[in-house]
This record gives sequence, structure tokens and C-alpha cells, in this order.
Amino acid sequence: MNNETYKQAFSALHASDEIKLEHDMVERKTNKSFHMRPAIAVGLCTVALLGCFSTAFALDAGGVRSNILDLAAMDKSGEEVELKAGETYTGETPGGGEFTIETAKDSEYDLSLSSSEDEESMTVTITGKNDTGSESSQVEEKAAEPDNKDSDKDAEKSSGNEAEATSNESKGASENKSSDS
Amino acid sequence: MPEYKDNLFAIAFNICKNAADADDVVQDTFIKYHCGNKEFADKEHIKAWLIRVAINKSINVTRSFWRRRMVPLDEYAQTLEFPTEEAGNLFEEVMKLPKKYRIALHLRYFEDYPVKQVAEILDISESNAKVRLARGRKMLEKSLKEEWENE
Repeated sequence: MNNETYKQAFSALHASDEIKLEHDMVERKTNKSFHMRPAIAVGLCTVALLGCFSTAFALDAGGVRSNILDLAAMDKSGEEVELKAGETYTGETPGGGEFTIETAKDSEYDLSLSSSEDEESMTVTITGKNDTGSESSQVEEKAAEPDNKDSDKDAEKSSGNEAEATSNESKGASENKSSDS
Repeated sequence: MPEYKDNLFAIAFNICKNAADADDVVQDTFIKYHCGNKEFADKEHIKAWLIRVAINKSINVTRSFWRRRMVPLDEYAQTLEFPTEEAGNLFEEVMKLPKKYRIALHLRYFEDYPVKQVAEILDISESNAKVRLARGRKMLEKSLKEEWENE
């Protein structure tokens, strides 16, 4: 074997014409691959994040699903409803119960509802004016769902007291007003 | 650069035994050359560096788990046009040798590198390079002699 025979044997091999040797061609090719990698990485990260989020949503991890559904639904806390005289307003408490408010025929009320964090109680603020607009009173009631019968009784008592206090308050207010006039 | 294209393809094909893989190796080698900021003393230095990179990349290709577009060597050899029948036989017999002997013989007899530079490119000792060349030559002579005797 000699060098010439060996060179003849391997001179038959030729590289493909598709190989790019120019600097700009090679640079373009490398740039393309450089941009592809981040794009693929970003895509994979997005898919992974979506997967994690959907898993957390399905499992309600950290209350994610509850929070999102609460946000998606209309948050009615702080909602103001104007009731006309003689009208009845019926609604649901955050705990799932129902309440009804009936207004007197000769008065007009602005009703403000707000729910508390524990979802078991609700604060109702009613501001009312009579037809002349000369009197006003504010009543705050806290409705709670007690766990047992004893607490039911306590609640009844306390609500009765509150009602009395409210009626006394409104009476006092009207008396004060009449004395002023 | 274009003058080294076929040299790189020859050494890459010598190792990969596959034209498509050899093309990929040549392209990757040129990309590495253009992307790197390595400084070279002269053209010979560039050529030696390119060959070394091509050898390493080719070895990596042969080690990879899946090798793409496998075309049998015999099939590809039939498409090549050798100037003489002797050259064709030599090509076939060289490709049957173990890889480490093939590479050493190719650098010595195709690229005309002295034994010292063959050792440098392959990152082996000079005596080791001599041993590889001697063993490769011996195996090649034996196989060619048998072939000639058979013919």
C-alpha cells in the first residue's frame, strides 16, 4: 500500500453541496437555532405552568378554585338596593340562608348588604327616610347562624333586645325631633 | 475553507461510515469554526484544528444512541467512482478495520501528517500512534493479500 493508492481510494468521497461554508450562511443558521431554543423553553414553561395551575384548580389547593369562582361570580357585598314603600326584598345570606325585608307603606329605605369573612353572618345596614325627609334613623343588625339550640335561644333573646333597642331608638329619635320642632 | 470540505468529509466518513452523518459533522465543524474566537497561527493550524474537531464530532455521532439515516456502507460504496479497482478494494478493506486504526492510517496516508502530528491530533503518545499505524498497516496488508490470493 502506498500513499497514492490510499488517496485515490478516499478521493472518491465528496461532501454534499448543501453544506454552507460562508460565514453569513453559517451565522444565519446558528442564529436560527439560537432563537428556537428560547422559544421552545418558553413554550415548555408555559405548558408546565398551565398544567400546575389546572392541577391546583382541580384539587382546590390553597382555595384557588373557591377564590376564582368567587371572583367570577358577582360580589354583592356592599350592594345598595333602594326599596320603595310597601315593597318586599328577599335575598340569600352568604351562609346559604334566606332573609326577607318588608318596608312600611309610608317610608323609603336604602338597603346596604355586606357579608363577613366567616360566611355565617351578614351585616345589614338600613337607612330610611319618611315621605317628608325630616327624620332619619340607622339600624344595624347582625344575623348569625348558631351551632346549637342554646345559642339559638340566646340569639333570639339578643335579637329581641336589639329590636327593642331599635324601636326605642327610633321612638327616641322621633320624640327628640318632635320636641325640637 | 472550501478546500478543507472534502478532507473533513473523508475523515468523518471514515469514522461514521455514513455520508449523511459525515455531512452533518462537516457542517457542525464549520459552524464551530465560525462561532469560535480561537486564533490560529497559519492555515495548517486551522486545518489540523478542523480535523481534530471533525474527529471528535464523528466519534460522538457513532456513540449516540440512535444514528439517523443509516445507509449500509456497501450500498453507498457502490455509488462511488474509484479511479482503479485497487483503490476500490483498498477503500473496502480500510473500512473493515477497527476505528482507531482507520483514523490513524487516514491521517498518515491521506492527510500526510507525520507520526508526531498524528499523535497530537489524536491526543495520544507518539509511540502509541506508531503502534496503531503498524497494526493497521499489518491488518490491511493481510486482508489485501488474502483478497489478491482469492482473486
